[in-house]
Amino acid sequence: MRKKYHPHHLLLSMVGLLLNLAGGCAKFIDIKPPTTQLVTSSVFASDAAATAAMTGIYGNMSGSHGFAGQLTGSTSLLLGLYADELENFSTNQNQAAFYTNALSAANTDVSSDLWAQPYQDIYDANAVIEGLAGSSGVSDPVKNELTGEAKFIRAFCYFYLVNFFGEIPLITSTNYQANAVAARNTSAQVYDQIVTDLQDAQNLLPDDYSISDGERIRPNKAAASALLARVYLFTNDWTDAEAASNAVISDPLYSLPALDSVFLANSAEAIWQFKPVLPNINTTEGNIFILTTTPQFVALSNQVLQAFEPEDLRRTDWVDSITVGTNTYYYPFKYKVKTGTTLTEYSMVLRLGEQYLIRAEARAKQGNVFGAQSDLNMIRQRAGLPPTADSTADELAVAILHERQVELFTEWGHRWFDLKRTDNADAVMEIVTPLKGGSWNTDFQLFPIPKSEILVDQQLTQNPGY
Amino acid sequence: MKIVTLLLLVFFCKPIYAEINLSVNNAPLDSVFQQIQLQSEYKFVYTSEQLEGTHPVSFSVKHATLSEVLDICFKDQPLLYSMEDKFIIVRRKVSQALAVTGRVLNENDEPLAGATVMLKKTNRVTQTDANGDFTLNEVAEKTILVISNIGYETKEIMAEKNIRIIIRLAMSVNKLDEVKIIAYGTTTERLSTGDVGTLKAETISEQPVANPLAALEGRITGLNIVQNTGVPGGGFTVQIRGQNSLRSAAIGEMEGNDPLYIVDGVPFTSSSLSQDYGAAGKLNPLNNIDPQDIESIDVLKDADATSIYGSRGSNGVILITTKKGKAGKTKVELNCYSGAGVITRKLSMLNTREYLQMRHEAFNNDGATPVPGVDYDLLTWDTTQYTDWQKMAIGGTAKIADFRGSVSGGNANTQFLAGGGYHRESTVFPGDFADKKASVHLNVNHVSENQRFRLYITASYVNDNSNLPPSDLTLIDNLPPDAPKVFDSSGKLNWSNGTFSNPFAYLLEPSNTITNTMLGNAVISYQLFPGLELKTSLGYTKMEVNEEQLFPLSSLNPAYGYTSGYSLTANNNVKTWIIEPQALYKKRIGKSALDVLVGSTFQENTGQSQSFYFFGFSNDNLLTNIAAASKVYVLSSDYTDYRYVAAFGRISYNWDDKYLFNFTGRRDGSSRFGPGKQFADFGAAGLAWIFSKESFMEKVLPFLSFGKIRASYGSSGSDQIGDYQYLSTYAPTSYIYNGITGLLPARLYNPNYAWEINRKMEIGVDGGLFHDRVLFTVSFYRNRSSNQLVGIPLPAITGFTSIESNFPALVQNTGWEFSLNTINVKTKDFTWKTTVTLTIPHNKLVSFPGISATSYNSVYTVGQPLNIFKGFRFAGVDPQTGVYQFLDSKGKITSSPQYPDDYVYTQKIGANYYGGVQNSFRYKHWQLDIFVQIVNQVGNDNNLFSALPGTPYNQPSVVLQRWQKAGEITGIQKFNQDYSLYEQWSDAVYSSNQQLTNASFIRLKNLSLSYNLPELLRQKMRVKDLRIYVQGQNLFTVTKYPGLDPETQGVLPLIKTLTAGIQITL
Repeated sequence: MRKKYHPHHLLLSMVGLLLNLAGGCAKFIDIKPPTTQLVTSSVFASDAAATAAMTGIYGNMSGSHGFAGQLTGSTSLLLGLYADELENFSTNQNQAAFYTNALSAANTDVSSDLWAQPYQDIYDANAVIEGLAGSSGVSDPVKNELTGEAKFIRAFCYFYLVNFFGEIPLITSTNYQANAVAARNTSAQVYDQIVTDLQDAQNLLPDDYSISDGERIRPNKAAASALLARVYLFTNDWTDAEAASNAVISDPLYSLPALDSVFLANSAEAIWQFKPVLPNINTTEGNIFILTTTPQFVALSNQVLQAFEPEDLRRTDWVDSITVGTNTYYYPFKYKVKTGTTLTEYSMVLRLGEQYLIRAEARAKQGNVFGAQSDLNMIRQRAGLPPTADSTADELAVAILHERQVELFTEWGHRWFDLKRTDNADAVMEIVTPLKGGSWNTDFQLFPIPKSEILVDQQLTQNPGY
Repeated sequence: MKIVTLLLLVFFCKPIYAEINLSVNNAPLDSVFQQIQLQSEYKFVYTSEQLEGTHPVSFSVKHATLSEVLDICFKDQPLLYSMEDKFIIVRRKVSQALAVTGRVLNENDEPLAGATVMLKKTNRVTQTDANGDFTLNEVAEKTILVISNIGYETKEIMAEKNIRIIIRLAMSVNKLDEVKIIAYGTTTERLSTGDVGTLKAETISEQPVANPLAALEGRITGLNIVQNTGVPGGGFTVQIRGQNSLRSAAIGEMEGNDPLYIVDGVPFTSSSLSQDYGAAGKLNPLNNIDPQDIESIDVLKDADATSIYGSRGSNGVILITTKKGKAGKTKVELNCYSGAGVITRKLSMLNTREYLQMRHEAFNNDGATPVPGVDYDLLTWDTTQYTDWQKMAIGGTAKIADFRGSVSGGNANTQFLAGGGYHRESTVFPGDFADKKASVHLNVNHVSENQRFRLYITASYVNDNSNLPPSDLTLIDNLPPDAPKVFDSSGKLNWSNGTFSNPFAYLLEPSNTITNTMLGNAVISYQLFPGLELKTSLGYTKMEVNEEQLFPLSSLNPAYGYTSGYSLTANNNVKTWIIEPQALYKKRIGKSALDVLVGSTFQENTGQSQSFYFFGFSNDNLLTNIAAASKVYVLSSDYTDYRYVAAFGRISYNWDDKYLFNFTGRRDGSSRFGPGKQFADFGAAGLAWIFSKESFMEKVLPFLSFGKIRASYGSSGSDQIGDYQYLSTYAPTSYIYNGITGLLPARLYNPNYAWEINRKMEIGVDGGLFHDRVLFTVSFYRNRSSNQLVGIPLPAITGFTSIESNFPALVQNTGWEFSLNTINVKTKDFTWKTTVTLTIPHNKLVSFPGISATSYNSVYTVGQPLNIFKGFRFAGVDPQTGVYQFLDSKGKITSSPQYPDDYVYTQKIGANYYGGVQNSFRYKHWQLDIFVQIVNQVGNDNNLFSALPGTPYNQPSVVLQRWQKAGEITGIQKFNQDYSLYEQWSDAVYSSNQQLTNASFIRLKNLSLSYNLPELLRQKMRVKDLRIYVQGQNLFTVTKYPGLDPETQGVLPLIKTLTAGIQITL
């Protein structure tokens, strides 16, 4: 007899079937990782991908990270405005506040360009260091090279952070739970970490640039030494500063070319440069600083113009002007290319000229007048100036500070850092700030910790004066 | 049963063979019977009732037999007789069993398939087939047939003879019986256990809008729609019953409060695929659905209606159903309108004289003088020049044109609809900018002869071509009124030697966005046996956005030293497919009806996007040809995959249309969650009691024609977060460094986050008074959203600023919703109907453990609504110094309030209540509809001041009330140009309650007047239908808001448009 089916049975079996189908298809929602990204474990499984992870940091720094040189958020521009190097022409409030030394804790140039971006690079560097440490797929030479570069980058970022903000949290891992509640470390602790990282980098990095086919765009051992020399100088460790700069100056890879060749790609003076990655331009410095009409952002200040000695070739080679109507505007002309897709200039980060001045200062501080004079004269000679007439350590210290002003102007905030570390900031700014339409307060030597950070990480405290 | 009085009459009669001689004239039967009994020996047996309705007889016989006489008497009478023994037994003729056949049609003589035909006495039921035909056998004569169909007025008809009945059902005028689309089915207001708001095609078609969301604004209780800009194609903020999620675009996060949009059963993206290239910002995706193709929009609000959408139902669901073909003669419909629009409101700005006065006063206040090479507006430019920049930028007239046509028809088995439309809307900006939209819509339905197999296919394609300036030119109203002329004598952009950053360069930098949207849906169903239907819905959508933004060299400020033009392009597409097999089981036993639905969903969305920079074009004319670029630069390249699987079910039980029970459940799995967190269960119960059907109610409240109490409770979820957030990945950067494309960590990852849960509760009363001429609904809801899925803010020192995670914060939305529909007048020639809606929402952050440690602390406060203003307490202008002052936390006056200590002012902002009033009048061939939108809200007017008053930016005229000398009491601080008072100004304008203002408005949102040609004229013109109409949108706004428009606030106001059109049906 034919079995009579009952609607209810069928319905129940249908429900069962559908539920089974859905249950069995739990696998259906196990999707593959996106085809446009790599899971972290496979990044540190090969030399090429691991190298790309390090390269990503350089791309970011060169292309979008303000403190490292991106357009109007760059350290060169913002600190040039903050000190006495640049005159403001922008109506952007964040930029204008740098000019009038009136930063607020809500300034987004501070919170983004000068704070968050270096910390992002530090996170990325920490991720490379950790990823390589746990990796078995990356070959030892590449592992050493990349670890050295990551440590160098970490030190480089901390150097700027500690000089912008003073005491800052020291983040050396990717553990966000711990990092989210990090408190500020002392400057000494930060400098200790910087020195450790740079010494590791010296050991890990190669002597030459063969890894980037001779292009001086990834840090090598000399870059680590050069930054270390600067760090020792900033911490008044004259002997070590001299030793570290000595290592670079004595390296035959480096020499002082003519003024108009200093900022060319892979110039003999370059220890480390950023290769431009932004379209349509060479360096952002050249793009922003060079004027073709009334300034939109900045022009060179009177203070810099007046600092040049009469015969100084840098006044004519590294400064240019434009006249619009009856107004003449001066601008830094170290980089000669405003726009253009053929790369002839790279953005200079570390160069030999600074090393001579570091050694000169370190020698002067140690009483080595002759050594200091000869280093200083190397720089003066290239600028077409007579040898220095100063003959005491104290006189030389002043002369070196002045020489740094005219040699390193609008580069990487050297001027501002020099004023601070030589305790000249208050004296200079008390004159300059009112000229710029603001009023100076010694607390302003340190930038404010971003308000948004203090909100989220209650372990952080604000700098005085903000 | 009636009590029958039986009269048994017994007579002694003569023998049967006796001859009868009788002559009667118009005599009643019983008297005739008595006379016959006298002449025969038979006696009649009958009741007086049996003789009811018999007709009197007239005859004359001689020598007739009894049989002959009886035959004459019973001829044409509803009676039969039989002779047994000596009795003539009279019986009523048993009413004859009829076979009733008929056809059910709508008003347009189109067959109605699936209409119910019921015998009133026995409740026997049949349904019409696709031709509208039905047959009922064995129907007693004079039985009443009840013919009903959802959406039509029920009709009763008496079964009489064996003839075919044609029944025409009128469209239901009773809103209670209008069809409402719900998840995987339909219902009516009358029988719904949930809360569903519906907008029909007739209301949509009255509005000359390009986005269906614009047509919905203010129409449905609980649905708050705010149009973000007046630029065509721009964004809308849509919330059903408030903000559930802390994730909100308003505070710069991925929006977590969008409802789920479903178009013909296929999920439709709520987030824009477009970049922020043009003046409209990110284009709204719903802009790619042609409003005129829509048959109905149903808004599902409560748990009963939304829980079946499980993880995606948390923020409510908007179901869009497109138009379908109908059987009948082939019908051709043509419709076109055109019109113009201008901005709803303008702002009064300073003229040159007032502006210069402000500037000089500012210099005086600062003790400074204008600086050459900086203060161009005073020293370089022609200070006698005056330009009304607002008028230049947004004072134009937008032109609107819309053409569409459709053909529809078919027979009982197969129906079709094919339509196309074109809509063009230009902007109020100068220059040739417009949003153009072409659409095609197709639908074919088929049902097999035996009614068991059904197939619906719908496909639509929309091509939207948006051509806009790169920026909303509204924002240039702050240019100094003496700024130079836009073009120089040779017609080129005037940069005035770099002193003038000419915003009209935008006119040369078009942002072109082409969006192609394809939507296809097929539903196949088969009735296995009566009561059980198997069904599969298949859907596919593809939206493809191709954008380019051109920067010709001629538009670039020479100060930046460009040597060639460049372009930006972005391509973005998302494809969705969905398969939903379902089984539906129906069982009717006596007064109970059971409906069971089970089904499952498989869905996948894949998205791809790329964006590029192209450089080095040798000529501006080649900008659109990327092959002419000498350098390409990849900005981004992304791929996302989202998969979703679910099983769902619904059991509905209805007892006598009086007690309704509805249970829904869903188990969902989503690829947006990490392993072990992918699945979650959701469910809801809805109950309703139609108490007006209780017999005692008819006595107690006779004027109450309908009354229902309903309640629902249930859960739904949200997975509106990005894809892959649980994965630790590296992504390529856009910077190629020395030939190597770098990789960078894509995010901080958290594999442990799970579903956000929203528990919804609702109690509602639906009522009808005076034969449903007054219908009202009152609903109260309480939705609580917990396990908030938020990007928990992190300090930037961690390398990132947030991490996706669940947070134990609880957000509550409660509210009252009222709606009232009345038919005020209804005569043959004149009808007046009114609809009033009102929503009073309340939103509250119930708990947020540890809020003070998060950056949400600056935005939210526990115990307050999410939408609050937090800031400093404004204390006016110091009469002595003329500078803004504030109250600190202790109530003392200060000019530099400190964050966070003095950041103590809180006030609810956003809508306090909103609603609308629609009045519809019909007089003979005239139809007038007027819709007024009402919003009561607190907003801010900080967009009024784009820069510190005194600096080289123009200001609204209100700044003339500034402080000028000691002792003056005023609300605006003194002019300042060296930014020394910037902090106080920005604290006041952006961070204090000074900016709060009444942004309530009453807007004549829509006015539609139409005239239908009378029949006679139509016949003469040989058209089926001809309608001429005038429509207006945003015609009039009443508000105290000091800024531009109270709805869009800082950006381009809404456009007030007036159009006229004609619709012809052949």
